[in-house]
Order: sequence, then C-alpha cells, then structure tokens
Amino acid sequence: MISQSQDCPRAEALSALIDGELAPREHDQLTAHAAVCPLCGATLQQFSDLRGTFQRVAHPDAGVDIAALVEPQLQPRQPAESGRAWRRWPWQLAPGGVAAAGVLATGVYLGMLLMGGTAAVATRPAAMAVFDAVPPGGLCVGALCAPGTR
Amino acid sequence: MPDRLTGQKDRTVPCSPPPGVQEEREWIRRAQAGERAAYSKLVRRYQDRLYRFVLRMVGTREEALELTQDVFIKAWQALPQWKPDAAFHTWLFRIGSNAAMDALRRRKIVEFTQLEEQYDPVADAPDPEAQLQSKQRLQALEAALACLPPEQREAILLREVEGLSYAELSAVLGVNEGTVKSRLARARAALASRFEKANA
Repeated sequence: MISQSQDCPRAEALSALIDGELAPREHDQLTAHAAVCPLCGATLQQFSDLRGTFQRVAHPDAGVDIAALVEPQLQPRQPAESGRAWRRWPWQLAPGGVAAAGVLATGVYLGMLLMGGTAAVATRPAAMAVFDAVPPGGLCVGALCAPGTR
Repeated sequence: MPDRLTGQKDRTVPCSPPPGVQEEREWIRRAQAGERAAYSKLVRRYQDRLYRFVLRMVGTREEALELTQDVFIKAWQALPQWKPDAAFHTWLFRIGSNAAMDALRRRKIVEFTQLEEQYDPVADAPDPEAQLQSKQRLQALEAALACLPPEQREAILLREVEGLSYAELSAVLGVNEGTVKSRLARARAALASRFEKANA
C-alpha cells in the first residue's frame, strides 16, 4: 500500500484514477491509499463531485442547422487527375524531346556553315582588297608578292 | 473507497464504438469522393458536439457558430488526406481545438457569456430549492471554467463533456499522454479550488 507522505495529495494520479486511466495494480493501490489518507481522500472526493457536476452541465446545441450553412460554402473537389497533372511518365515526354533535339541540331548545323564552311570564303567582298598588304595596282616587292599573299 | 469515486466503471467497461460506424465510414468515403450531401450528414452528426466545445472555449455564440462553420469547411478541404487510423471525431476536434486557440490568441481579451443563464440545466433535482442549488453549482462551474487557461479548459472539456480517452486527447491536443494527465490534474485542482470558494 502507498503510505501517506509529503507529496500527498497526488493530484495527477488521483485525476487519472477518476478517469479510469490507471493500470489495475496502481488503481487498486491508490484506491486503498485514498481510503486512509485524509488529503488524498478529500481530493478524490472533490474530483468526484466535480465529475458529478460536469455530468449535469447543459449541452447547448447550435440552434441552427450548421450543415445547411456549410454546404453552399463547400468548394467542388478537384478531380484526382488534376492533382497529378505534373506527374508524367518519361515516355510521355519523348515526342517533345525528339522535336527539341531536332531543332537544336539544325540550328548548330546552320551556325557551323556560316562560321567555317565554303560560304565564308565566297562572301569576301572585292572592295576589301584595298586593305591588303599590296593594294590593287601597287608594285609587288619581294615576299609580299609570294603566292597566296594577295 | 466506493467505486463511484474511482472511475472503476470506466476502466472495466471498454469504450464501445458508437452506433452507425459503418454508416459513418460510408459517408466519409463518399465525401472524400466529393459528394457534398454525404458530408452534410457527417456535419449534422457532429455539429452540436463541436459547437458546444467551441462555445465553451471562445465564450460567445456568434463566434462559436462562425468558427464551427470554418472548422467544417477546413475539414472538407482536408478530408481527402484523412486516414481511418484516426477517429473522425478526434480529427474534427483537433481542427476545432486549433481554430478555437487561434481565435483566442488573436483577440487576447476574452469575454465569456454565462452559459447557464442561457440554457436550463438538466432538471433532475426534486424540489425548487434543490433545483436552484443545482443551477448555482452549474453557474459556478461555468464561471470557474472560463477562468482556466485555455489549454487546461480544452483538456477538461474534451474529457468531462465529450468523454474522450487520454489517447484521443493526446491526438486532439497534439501532446503526449503524460502531458494530458498533468494538464487534466491541474485543471481539476484549479476548478475544485474555485468551486469550493464559490460554494463556501
């Protein structure tokens, strides 16, 4: 049996006792203790009276049908499909990927043609010859007239 | 010590599932699929319990009615995520508890109505004098409840009025069962003290 000590009344244990939330052994020990401990006995009686009063409290109802007030405010639920709109399988992305890769490859090919292919040589204008080392009509001296310098 | 004091009955008689559990599961399933009529049936089943809990938390009828509607609208939005491992009413009370605590935090100062002035207590007393005493006790209890810190008030209301177990309280309040136990004990001690002074 639990004896009376300085920490009586054990409010927490007595409260759990009232609620029927103690293990059977604890329940029996504390019940026996409360029967002989004036502090615990009085506390248990207070808690019990309180419970009795709670059982008589009024249960006010809302006085209106809340369901009828709530129902018009409920948003239609989105279909489950829309919630997964962004969740796509890889094979569903394949056609778009192939098209994008094709466009990119075409762009790279055209760019290479402009930068380094035969088109670059063919587009050199004749007027640019005035900036050559030997301008048009000038005398050709030594190495300046070597093949390929004009 | 007599058993009526010790909750022995609560311990030995397990809480049986409320009637209509299968029916409720069907309503939930249909509501999750988007059927509003099924959800309205769920609302009607719990509207008064939720309303009176919120009313005793916030203290005014208008605010309680508004908050109760908000709770049911939030629950509708969150219903697709609800899992049957939590009881539906426990889940609802959790949303209700959060809504009430948020409302209390927003306004800081709480003005409570004396509920027993608006609602007649159960008339179980045999004569007018006893009825008056009973009414006075109930008024004292309501007044004492209003003075409790909100965390203790919601715990004691959910236990004593709604009959939730410690495990259910733990789920509703989002605290462990040890905290539930101590919170209830503090609430009871405070109520008993105020109650005693009021009846002295």
